[in-house]
Amino acid sequence: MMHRTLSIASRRRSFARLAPLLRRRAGWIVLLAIAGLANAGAGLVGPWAIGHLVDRLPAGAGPEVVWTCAVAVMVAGIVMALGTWIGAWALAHIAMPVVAELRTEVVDSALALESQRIEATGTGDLVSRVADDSRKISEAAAQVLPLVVESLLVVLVSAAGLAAVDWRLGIVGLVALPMYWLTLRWYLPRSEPIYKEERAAFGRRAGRLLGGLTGAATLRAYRAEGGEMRRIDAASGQARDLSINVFRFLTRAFGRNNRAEAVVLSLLLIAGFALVWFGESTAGAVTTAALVFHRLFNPIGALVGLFDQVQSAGASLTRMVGVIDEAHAAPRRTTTLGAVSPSLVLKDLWFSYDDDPDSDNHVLRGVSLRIEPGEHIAVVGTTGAGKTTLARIAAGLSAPTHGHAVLMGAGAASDRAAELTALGEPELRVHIAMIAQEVHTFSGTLRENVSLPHPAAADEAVMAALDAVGARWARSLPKGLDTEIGEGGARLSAVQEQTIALARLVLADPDFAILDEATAEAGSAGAHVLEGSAQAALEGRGALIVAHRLSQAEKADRILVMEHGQVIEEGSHDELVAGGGRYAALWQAWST
Amino acid sequence: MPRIPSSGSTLLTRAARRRLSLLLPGAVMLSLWQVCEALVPVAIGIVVDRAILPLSLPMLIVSILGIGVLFTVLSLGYRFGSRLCNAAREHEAHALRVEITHAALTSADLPADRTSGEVLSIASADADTAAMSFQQAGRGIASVLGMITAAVFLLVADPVTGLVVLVAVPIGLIIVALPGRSVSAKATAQLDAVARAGRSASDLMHGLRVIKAMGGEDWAVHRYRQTSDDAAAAGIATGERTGRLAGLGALVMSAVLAIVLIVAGLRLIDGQMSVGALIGILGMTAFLTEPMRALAEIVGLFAQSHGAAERIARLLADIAAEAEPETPEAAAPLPTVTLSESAVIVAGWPDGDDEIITTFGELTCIVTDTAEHGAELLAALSTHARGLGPETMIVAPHDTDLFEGTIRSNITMVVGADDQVHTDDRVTAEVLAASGTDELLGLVDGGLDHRIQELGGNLSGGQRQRVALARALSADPAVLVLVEPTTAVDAVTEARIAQGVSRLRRDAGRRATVILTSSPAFLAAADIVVHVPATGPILRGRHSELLAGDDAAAAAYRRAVTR
Repeated sequence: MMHRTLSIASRRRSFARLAPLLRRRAGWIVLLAIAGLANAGAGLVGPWAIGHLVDRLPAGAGPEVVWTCAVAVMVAGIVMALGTWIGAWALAHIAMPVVAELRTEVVDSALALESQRIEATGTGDLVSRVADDSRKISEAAAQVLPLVVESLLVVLVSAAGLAAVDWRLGIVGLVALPMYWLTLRWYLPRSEPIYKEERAAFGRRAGRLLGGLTGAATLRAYRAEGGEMRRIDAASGQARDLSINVFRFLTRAFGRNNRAEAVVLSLLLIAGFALVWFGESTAGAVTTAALVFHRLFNPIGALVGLFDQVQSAGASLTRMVGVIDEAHAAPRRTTTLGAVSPSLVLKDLWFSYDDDPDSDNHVLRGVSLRIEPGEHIAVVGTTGAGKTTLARIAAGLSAPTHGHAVLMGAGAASDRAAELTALGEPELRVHIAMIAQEVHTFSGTLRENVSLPHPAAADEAVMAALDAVGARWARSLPKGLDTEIGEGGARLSAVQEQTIALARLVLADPDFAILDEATAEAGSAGAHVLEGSAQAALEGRGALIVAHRLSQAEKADRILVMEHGQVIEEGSHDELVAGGGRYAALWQAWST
Repeated sequence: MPRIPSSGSTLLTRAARRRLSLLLPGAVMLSLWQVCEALVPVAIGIVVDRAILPLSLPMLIVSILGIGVLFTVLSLGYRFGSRLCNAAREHEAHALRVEITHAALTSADLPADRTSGEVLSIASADADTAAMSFQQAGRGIASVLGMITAAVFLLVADPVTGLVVLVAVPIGLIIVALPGRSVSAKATAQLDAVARAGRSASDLMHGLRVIKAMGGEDWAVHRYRQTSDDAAAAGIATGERTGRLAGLGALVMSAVLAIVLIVAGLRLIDGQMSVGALIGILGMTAFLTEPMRALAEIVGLFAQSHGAAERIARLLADIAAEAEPETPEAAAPLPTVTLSESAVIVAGWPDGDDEIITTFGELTCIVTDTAEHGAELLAALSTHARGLGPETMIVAPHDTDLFEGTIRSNITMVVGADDQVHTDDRVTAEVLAASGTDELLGLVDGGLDHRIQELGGNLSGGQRQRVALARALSADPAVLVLVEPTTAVDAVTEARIAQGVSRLRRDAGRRATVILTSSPAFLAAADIVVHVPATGPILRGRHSELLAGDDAAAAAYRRAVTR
């Protein structure tokens, strides 16, 4: 089995992706910088005013100093109000569209990945990157980013303010830097593994809960609830213990912060005392310096506390950019065919899931097949015979290891041919569409679900497609095509979900349809209905049908019987039954 | 069994009572921390007033020592106070989670209107949110005590200025808090929009194969772009609103500071106040906003916790109600199931007088034309099975639930809390062959000890069905009921399985097997087939006899089972 994962971009690469998005918003960035600096600067007026009063009032100044200071504080308040407001506004105009573009591009890229690549990595990794990582980034942009930006500006401006009050006090304040740096150096390498462990425990707990609760009916049937409950309790207990440990660790980091605060504040006061002693500075200046530093407690605490979230948002970014880069690096499908009603020709197909080209672990061993327009071909065989792989190659979703899968023009255009995996996707899907094993109903209206191949299709066309496959239930829905289905919407039966897939096929109206076990999960009664629907959907087009039920094969023009990646019998139903081979035996077992 | 809390409030009260030993010391220490935080600006004022202005070295030394003590108490108060409150929260969340899952798994069935997804969300998110109330309680108490300390200091330091502060600060906060609700509504709307975009992305990725196979890439990108752009627009609106509110807050607090500064400055000129008191009062004015804002936030968060607690209480009550003996009107004329010495008898199904008898030692297949009939019979059989041990009767559901572990642990249904794989549990070769699992074992690494992911995600539908069938056969109950066990298995394998199941159950001796299916493979292997048409009398006989009949009933049977 293969376990190649999608790539992860380097940090440099990720920022390079962000840069052009940010450059387009340079105006907003300038506005943010101006507003943020004005806001942080105005915040220094309060401590300055207090220090000023400390110096002037005991020296016998009159009430006019008090009034001046009050006016200064008030003006600073107005600047802060405007700065805060405009800054937040500008930041939202930078962060939100950038994040939106990023997450749309990830979805876009994921959709552009070759199916084969997705099969090799599994959809799990992709789901987690496209859904979870982009959600994390979006939340971080909304909640963490504003705090980080504001805190950073306040810290920078206050440091400058401290130096402006007295450069010697500013130097003392610099002692804070190595202290906080040491805290981070102590904190980060330790936090990463324990947070990772905690996240893993949360994942385990969620998995156990999901498994236990969705499998409740089976657990009850086998009276096996006890064991599963013990597993859930253990997973939850483990997650709890880890969370408690993580928090203990976090409070230790905060403790180190407090230590830095106490040390630097004391040093400031001692240095201030010395400066005042030697007549180099005033008590007011020392007061201002101490109050400015006090103002830094919260922003610095926030920066240290948010560091993890910033880091994890950064990790999400690298994972998202990894998907984007991979989609960009993939070779483009550029061939065109430009022929109407072509034939689908599969020549000497070999396929192996191993990377090694000389592997002898082949799922397909030299299968050849030609489907003419309008011809229906059924494939019969046991699990593992290679039916699904053949179907995927015929649909242009997988490339054969050896051999060719091509569309070949007819009549005057018979010299035209195009490899399926090189043909541009829009044109490919005009000719070939596939209904795969997995059925998925998207969360949205019935109309949206059916119109997947042609988003702009008119209501009449959508309804006609549903009618064509015998979906009478669609007409009896209270809200008709506007009925919400999929997750959170009206529940549909397995048969109804399959009919929607068939209706999509009718609306897509391709020359060839590839059907892979499309009636399997519907149960016997449903299968009857679906067979009729499928027959109607295949009307007038060529088809390759992976037949799960022999009645599907019976109606086909030609039947292939596959075993171990090879075609062992081929012919019409009557020929094969008369021939007395493998198919005849199957049919015998099936029909009595 | 503990009594079930009747409402969110009782659930929270019960929670508080059982975590009191953590919560109480936690709140006390947090309060200590908050009071010390309030005293930091005061301390700065005192140092300037007593040491720096008079240039007294001994006082400076005492002051620095004092700051050391203050920060030590502050730091330790926070460290241990918040740890205790956090521990209370984690323990309670775990306890609630365990309580909910136990209730959901041990009840006869989930209440009809509850999906397992809903229970999952209550057991994970709501349990956390409800327990979060402890942190809020701790912080809330600390904030109140912090404010009281500040108030006392202000009034002692200078009654007039103190009073001005104590009046101006709350008024300022009220002005800021008034539009706060609309902003938090906007923020919630934005989070919802982001969550919607996330759900949409996840939905598209889960349907990725469908999209690729049908050429729906443009459709998908278009759909997603819409939700994503909506989220961005909501984000911009929220950002602007939040900024406006924060700006208003800065303006109001500056006004308060200016007023206090005027009052304090004038009183200092009048000689009624010391420099230290001035620094302390002004510093504390700025500080006071912190606990007050925290308190306002806590009230909002507490409402969320209460809502979550309410949902938990309701779910627990619903499950408990489901477990109650049936109410008179619910005692519908379900078919009755009896196990005699020699047979399983289902009476009153599909109609009052009908009776279906399965003798021990026989394989019976039941074909129903309507899904309702099948569901009715299944419900009756499941209800009956619940009162018996797994060695007597098992009704295996059609949905094949696999659990994380190995193929072996999924067949034997024995798992330990420690995740230890019990490689010694026996699964017989006969069971593996009869269920068709033997073929699967050749395809995967590790055979029986192949790891199964959560929900069996790494096996195909047909493979899952075979493991589930092996599970049913391995349990070897006296009465086994199966429902369409091989819908996802190919025709060739299905025929082999049908014969295997029939042989295995027969060889095991006095075993009764009932299969609800219309698969010809099983019908052909059955000792007796019962056909229940939508209307009209039920039909019994061997598959070949029923097929060969020439009356209308036989024709109906042929229609039901030919495919």
